[in-house]
Amino acid sequence: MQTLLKIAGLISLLLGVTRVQAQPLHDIIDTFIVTAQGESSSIQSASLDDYGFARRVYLDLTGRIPTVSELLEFVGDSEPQKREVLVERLLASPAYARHMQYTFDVMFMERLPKKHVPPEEFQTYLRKSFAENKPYNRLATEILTADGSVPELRAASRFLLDREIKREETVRAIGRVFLGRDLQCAQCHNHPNVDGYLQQHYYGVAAFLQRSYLFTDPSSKVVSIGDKIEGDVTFTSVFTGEDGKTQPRLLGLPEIQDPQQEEQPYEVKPDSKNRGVPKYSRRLQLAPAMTSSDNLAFRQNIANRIWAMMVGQGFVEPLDMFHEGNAASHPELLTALANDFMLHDYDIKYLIKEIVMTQTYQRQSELKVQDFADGNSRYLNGTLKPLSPEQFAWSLLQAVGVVEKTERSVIAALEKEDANFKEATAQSAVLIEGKVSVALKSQIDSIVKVFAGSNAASRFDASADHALYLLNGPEVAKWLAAGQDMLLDQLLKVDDNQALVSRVFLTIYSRMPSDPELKLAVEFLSVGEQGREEAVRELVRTLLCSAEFRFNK
Amino acid sequence: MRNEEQDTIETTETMDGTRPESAVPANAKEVRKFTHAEALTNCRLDPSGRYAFAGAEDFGVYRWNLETGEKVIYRGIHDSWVRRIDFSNDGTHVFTSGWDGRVVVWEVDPETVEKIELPVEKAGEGRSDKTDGEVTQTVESEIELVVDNPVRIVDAHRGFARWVHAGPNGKYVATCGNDKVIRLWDAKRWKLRKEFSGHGRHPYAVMIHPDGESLVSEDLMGEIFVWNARTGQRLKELKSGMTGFDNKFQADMGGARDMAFNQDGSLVGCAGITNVVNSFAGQQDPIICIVDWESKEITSHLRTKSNSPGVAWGVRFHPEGYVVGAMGNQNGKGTVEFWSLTESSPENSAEVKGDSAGCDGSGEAVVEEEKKPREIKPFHVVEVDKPVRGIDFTKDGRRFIVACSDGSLRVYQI
Amino acid sequence: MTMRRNAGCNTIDHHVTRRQFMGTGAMAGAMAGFGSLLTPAMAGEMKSKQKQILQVYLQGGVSQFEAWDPKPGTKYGGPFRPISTSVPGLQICELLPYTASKMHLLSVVRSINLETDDHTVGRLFMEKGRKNGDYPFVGAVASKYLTTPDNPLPGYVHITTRGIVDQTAGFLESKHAMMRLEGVKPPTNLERPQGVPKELAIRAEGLRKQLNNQFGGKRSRALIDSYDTSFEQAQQLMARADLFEKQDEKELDRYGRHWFGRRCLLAKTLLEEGVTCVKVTHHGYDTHAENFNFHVEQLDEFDKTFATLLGDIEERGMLDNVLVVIYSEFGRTPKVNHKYGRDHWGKSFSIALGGCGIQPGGVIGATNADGTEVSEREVDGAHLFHTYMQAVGIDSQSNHALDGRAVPIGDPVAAPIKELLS
Repeated sequence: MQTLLKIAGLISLLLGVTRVQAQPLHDIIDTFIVTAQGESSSIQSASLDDYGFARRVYLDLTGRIPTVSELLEFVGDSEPQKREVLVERLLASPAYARHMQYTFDVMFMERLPKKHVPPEEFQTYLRKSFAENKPYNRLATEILTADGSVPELRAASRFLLDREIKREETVRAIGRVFLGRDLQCAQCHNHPNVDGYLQQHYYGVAAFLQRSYLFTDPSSKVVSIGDKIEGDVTFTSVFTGEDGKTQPRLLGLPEIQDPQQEEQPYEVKPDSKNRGVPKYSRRLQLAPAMTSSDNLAFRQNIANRIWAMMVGQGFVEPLDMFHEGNAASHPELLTALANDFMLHDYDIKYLIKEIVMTQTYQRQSELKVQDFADGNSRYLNGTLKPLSPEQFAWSLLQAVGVVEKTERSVIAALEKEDANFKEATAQSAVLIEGKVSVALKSQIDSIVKVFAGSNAASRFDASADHALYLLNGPEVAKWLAAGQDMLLDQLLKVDDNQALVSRVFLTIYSRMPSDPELKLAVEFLSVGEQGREEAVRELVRTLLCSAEFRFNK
Repeated sequence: MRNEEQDTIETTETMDGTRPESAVPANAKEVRKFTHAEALTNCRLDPSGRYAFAGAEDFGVYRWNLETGEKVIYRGIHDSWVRRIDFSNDGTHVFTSGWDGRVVVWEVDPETVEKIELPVEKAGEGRSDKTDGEVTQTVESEIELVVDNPVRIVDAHRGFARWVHAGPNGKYVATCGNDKVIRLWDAKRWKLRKEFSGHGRHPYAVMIHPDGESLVSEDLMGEIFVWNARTGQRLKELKSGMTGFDNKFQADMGGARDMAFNQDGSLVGCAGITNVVNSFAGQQDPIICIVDWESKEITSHLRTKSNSPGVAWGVRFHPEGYVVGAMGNQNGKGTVEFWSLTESSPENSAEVKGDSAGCDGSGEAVVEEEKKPREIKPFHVVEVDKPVRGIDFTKDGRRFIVACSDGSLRVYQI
Repeated sequence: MTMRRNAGCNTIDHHVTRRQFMGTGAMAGAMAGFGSLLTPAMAGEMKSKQKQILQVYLQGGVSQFEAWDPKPGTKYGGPFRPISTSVPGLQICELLPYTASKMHLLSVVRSINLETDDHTVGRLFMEKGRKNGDYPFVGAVASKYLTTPDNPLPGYVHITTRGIVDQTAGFLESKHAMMRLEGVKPPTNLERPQGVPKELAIRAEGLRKQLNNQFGGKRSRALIDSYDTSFEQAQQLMARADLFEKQDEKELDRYGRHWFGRRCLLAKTLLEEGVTCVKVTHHGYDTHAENFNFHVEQLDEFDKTFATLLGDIEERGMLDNVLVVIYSEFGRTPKVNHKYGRDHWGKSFSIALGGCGIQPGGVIGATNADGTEVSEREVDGAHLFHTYMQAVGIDSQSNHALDGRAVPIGDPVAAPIKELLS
């Protein structure tokens, strides 16, 4: 009871205006999850060891597994704050920005092909935004405001423009991505089972865009969004036949009334040559309304999503089904996180770091108590997360040595160009990462294509095609061929089987083998009539095909 | 039907200095329009030039008296579309070939024409409400003139009877159909005399050369065969490129939509399509291929002025030497276009986009370099507000008729 | 709570509460449980004789006027005539003579109204039995509930080269998703790379399993199981690469050497080998121009081949256990356009079906005299879905066997077409 009061106190502090906190956020989270819920420590999973921690944060923050040297350096470091130091370093790395780019691109655009804005431009825009740690509310504002008419800001307009502001798709996307609510059903009637989704919610969002239209410049043929001053939203329930109408509004918040219309309501009148620019645009009310502190849904949703990104499971699941009938597992904590995020000016790196520094995040996925239900949802053990197609692609190329080899050649080229080139500066890191990504883009894209398929919702989809790709595919065979100065060649230089197996485990699983595993693997190498090269190759391939490599444990 | 005949003919001299009495395509104008409730599929003028015959999508064949406008319905025998009509040499009989596999012989001037009284229908109501906006006068008429007693019914082919053509000297009639055979029939008694096989796919048209010795036929794949009519030997096989395979939809489209000889048989015109982009949507280029009879080679490709997607549904050689084609465009409009084969004018040397390399659909040159067909653009185009599905000329070339998809049969004077 | 009519919602979420929903966004789609069938009685019965489904999908929308519901002599009837079939009183279009001789094995449903003319909406409705939402396709459901546990092949195979990619498993395990075969081409990467001796490959597979068992020992199994399954399926396909080898010449003569013939021959083979649901796509039928010439060609290709396939299934005594469905995503317009085409028409069209659980030789529903609307027994994709399920012994009105979730197999607003079921 005492603890509960303490928690309540802390949380109400978080709801306050100041940023002064008694405890860092990560402690509050941990206390809440264990103590506030009255959880017994006997069923919590153990904490990740250094190997496990390194693998997890490298994947979650940079989108790939660590190299062996990165891993060993971390494990061997005796600095007591080394985990925090590593997290900070990874957050500052260019790979973080790219990983966030991948993740948010899928969230915003669902792998939709190009319509009017090249996907690469949007991706670059995202990457730059994350590199500079743009506050999330500003990112959201830009994306909901960009109309494509200004070249420098056009990339951000892909969210609206490539959905062609078609009502069904756009309202649904806005609801899911920014409010955590899939409002699609509420188009025709109040959601039959979800009491919280009313028709007025759907049409309230639609009303922001009702007066917007796609404009094609007659000479440049560039498509952008223009606005008119007419257009109202009315709706009829297919069940009750009742009529309703609404001004722009978000969920239960008040309607945003149009101001008195002026005599000259347009800055630029819409015609065949010009996109309409009214003095008052409903569309331009969307971003401020969305990111307003009055709109709890906005920050709850992003807090939930970032939490789910890191920990593997949202407080609200599915992520786009916030409603009363689908209670959050830890509603007060979710709200506290949301408010804290807002109070820290929507600083994404801040929130991510706080989450990563929790004990909750650092729990192993191995259960302490077998078969205990709801373990995941109470965060008492880590959640097994499949690697996203991009994480898998990078990790695969990393493991077989393609990334390192490419890096070496990029650095060599840069050194050749400029004698003063220093590899180790932050600036060089960005340059190297950029060039390596460009060099590997087509390989990454082709692996992503195999593993993402047409699955826009990044659901885990294990199909025989994926397995066949790994087992028999010529790409994998090529990467594992000898004579390329990559993983296989390095391994073949190691005579001692135990050392070789350890090296394989470190490279692919980012850990040392246990004794039984060592025995198993060494036996695999020694038994049978195949040549050593063949055996080593199949050992590597087998680990690449295994579940442990496929998941972020 | 009121008589709206024009009394005067333009007498201005034309640019090429031909006699003022010549037909002048530039002066082509519609002088008459007959309407029908259902889309027309093709049209012919009988040898006397008095009547326009047309098949329609309601299985009937319609005969309009160009003078009086009287409409006679030939029906009751075909239970599918009549897509090709021809006449006996002496002009007394009309042959209709239908997709029911039948060729039916009727009288051009039947002795018995039934008069059937129809209940009066109010304007705007009735069967015509599905045609493209036309309210037909005919529906309002009270009497239908019907011919349902043909001279002969011939089960000419299994599947569609796609074509019928009466050869010279009243001897033979040629037909072809979906059973992939070409048949020569005795023109009087319609006994099957000869049968030619060889087309791998449906032959769409077959004509007997004016010399009576040869046949020419074209199939779905744009393969043009020239046959010795006596022996059945194939004298020539031409790949015209008038075909296309749509990979997405896995189907072929092509074949002659019309075929015609010029007066002395020195040229054959084949109308159809090429450059298939999306055949299911009707996206392909209309084309008329001109075959030189002596060399048996395709010497010219006649392209439409706008090259908008569609089908060339008709081809005729005008007595004055130019070629006339009828087009139905994908966009719901049509044209009648005029090409000169001889004059070198700016239109004739036009670059044609897309296909100058070859006409076999593969993009590769089929004929040798020197013998590539000339790409010719028309010197005159008559716009029609509906797709045109057939065209025919009077013998003197002064008037022509077109059949349209809205059920109208229009008469033009040039 | 009362179930209201599904007017186009993402209904899976209607049934979900947080407690019940198993797993994260990442885990969604990976469900535990082999053999968690409906009731013990049904489970027993289903396992005894494996039921199967053959779907022949005429992609693009075959014209019902030119196939199952001719309207001779009417305004929109078109140029073809009907022919009699082996079912007295039943006529179909003359373009299907071989199929006509086999109609005593099939029934026709002529009264389908999907209320859509959209390819995707229509196709998904016909496959999922739901107008909206993420639900498993017929083949995925069949794979889950009909496949015997020891079946060494994937449960749902689609033979097609038409580039339509659908998410077919819905919320069922990924192993029930459609496995796509590119025509009769073997799946990509079916052969072991050079330099991997068989014995080594076997030991590698053994090692993989051991590592996974070790890894999954104290972790929640669902994701790992589904990953394991994908490799098992891969091995299955590799073991049966012979299924994709050169087809028998005599058989090719009977089925036709065109691509549809080859695929139907492969379909027959897969059915004989026990694949639960085999789908073959024939395209295309989307004849906005030259509808009649194209149907002549397409149905000519379809007719003899399909009749041969159906005949073979019957002859082998398989028809009692194989449900056969021939369908499109919609039909075609009565009105013929100026290109001699017919456009999309979801308002009144037909399918044909027969075999396992279906009363043959019947006609369900009707369209009016000129084929412009349904005149009796209107049904949609939901009714059809229920019917397919019931025909193969799956109770469409019960719930999917998912841990903690109650999701009806068929849309509750519809019911099976009882007159069709034998």
